[in-house]
Amino acid sequence: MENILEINGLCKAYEDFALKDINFSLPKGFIMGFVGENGSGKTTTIRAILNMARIDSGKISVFGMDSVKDTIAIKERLGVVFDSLYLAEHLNARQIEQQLKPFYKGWDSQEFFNRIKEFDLPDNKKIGDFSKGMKMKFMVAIALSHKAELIILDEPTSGLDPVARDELLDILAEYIEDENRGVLFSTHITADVERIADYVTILHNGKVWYTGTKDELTENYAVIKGAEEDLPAALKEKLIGFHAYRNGFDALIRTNDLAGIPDSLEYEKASIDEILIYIAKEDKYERHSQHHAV
Amino acid sequence: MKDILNIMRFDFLTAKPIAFGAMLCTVLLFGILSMLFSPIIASYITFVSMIFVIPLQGIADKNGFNKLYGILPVNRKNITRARFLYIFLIHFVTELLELVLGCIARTAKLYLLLPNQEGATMQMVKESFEDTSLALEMVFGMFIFLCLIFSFMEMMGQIFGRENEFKIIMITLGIIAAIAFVFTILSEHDIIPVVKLPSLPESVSGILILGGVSNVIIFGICLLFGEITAGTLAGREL
Repeated sequence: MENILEINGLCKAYEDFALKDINFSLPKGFIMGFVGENGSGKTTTIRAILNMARIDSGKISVFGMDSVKDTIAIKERLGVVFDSLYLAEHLNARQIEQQLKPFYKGWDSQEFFNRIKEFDLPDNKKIGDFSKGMKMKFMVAIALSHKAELIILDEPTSGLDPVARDELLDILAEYIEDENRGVLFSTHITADVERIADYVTILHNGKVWYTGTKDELTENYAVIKGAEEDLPAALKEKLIGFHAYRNGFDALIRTNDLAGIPDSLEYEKASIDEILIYIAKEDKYERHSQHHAV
Repeated sequence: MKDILNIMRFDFLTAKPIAFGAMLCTVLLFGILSMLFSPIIASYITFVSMIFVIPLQGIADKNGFNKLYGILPVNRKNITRARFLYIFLIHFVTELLELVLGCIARTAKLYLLLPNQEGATMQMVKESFEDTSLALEMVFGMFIFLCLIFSFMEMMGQIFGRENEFKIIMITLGIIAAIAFVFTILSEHDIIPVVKLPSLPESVSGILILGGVSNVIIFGICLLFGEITAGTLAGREL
């Protein structure tokens, strides 16, 4: 499978935060959910892909091109949707179209106005007066109008009502029907990832905690519950985010480690949300800090 | 070069909906006044440039244009260079407009339609229509002054941040005033020779040549400011 995006050994340090050895890749024709709690490094990684943040070391390839050397050629083929609008809010859709079209060789005005119509966006209303959902759809319309082959979305669904979120996810699902495209979708709303993503990369404290297919992730982890006294000491060491309470405990566990557990302990497949929560809990108790770093 | 033109066009289209009405009113008002009372008044049209330049940074900050600059397929340095060329071009076009309006005012002589042609005020009006040199000096002077101020402010604002722009400009003006003061004192006490500034040419053609030369110099200064700013910002993240 050809990768549309590839990140190898990305490191970037700020005074109070650092991305450490980020490695992941997105094959063509798939959607990757890029998840992690606030401040885990999702936006910094996206800024590095866009060459907005200078990387300390590592290599980022988009469409097989270097993200630093070939940044202009990459951006011709890249669509970006941020969590907030980056356009002049006193202008309407027509005026924005006039502004942006000279920048892209592949800009298709007909496609732009078709999308505006399809997304039910008024072309004569100031975009500053659009709802948040409309603004997100407008940014997607722009990306589609210059025939972006990869769309990067940074927290596009935060603050959206369920209907607007659903609409946006439908648009992405339709977009990815073309197998030469890709979507990197950063969010902390894991329900969106569960619904739409094929691949998942989990960032935690500036490191990749997991990267791979969504199915593999959910199959490889389970939430285990029961009485603490039934828990063998060797197994306890393998738990992630172990939390004991009055009537028992709960924790995340790799499904590989489930072999031979006492019958008194219950377990069930973990959701991405639960995985994120247990990773955060693990940090809180400061155990296994390197346990699952990829 | 295409990048720069696209960004200049982008800036113009950003400012246009806000500035166009105000520009039309200003041009009409000062145009009519210059036709009736004095071609010198046409030089105040230079202030139109403010309407096209000042709102831009506010709009850029408020609407997160830094993100947009990060995703557009454009060389980052060209984004900065384009802003300085935009400032020059807006002032240059305004200057041309003033020159054209001044010419029309002188040719049309609409002041002849005003009442009380023999009054003292009308004599002053007539004299101002005869003094072409002063009108030209005003046009070129306003162009030089405002274009320099705006491009300098842009450089300071982009390098040191908009919040520090005013402080930096005041410090710069303070330093210039202090240097001028020291020079004046030193020359008054014959410590250094008095620098005699060359007088402006008196002929219209002389003033036009000087105006043309000053345009070229100001263009060069805008390019230089743009290059300094682009070089400084290139090392920073968006």
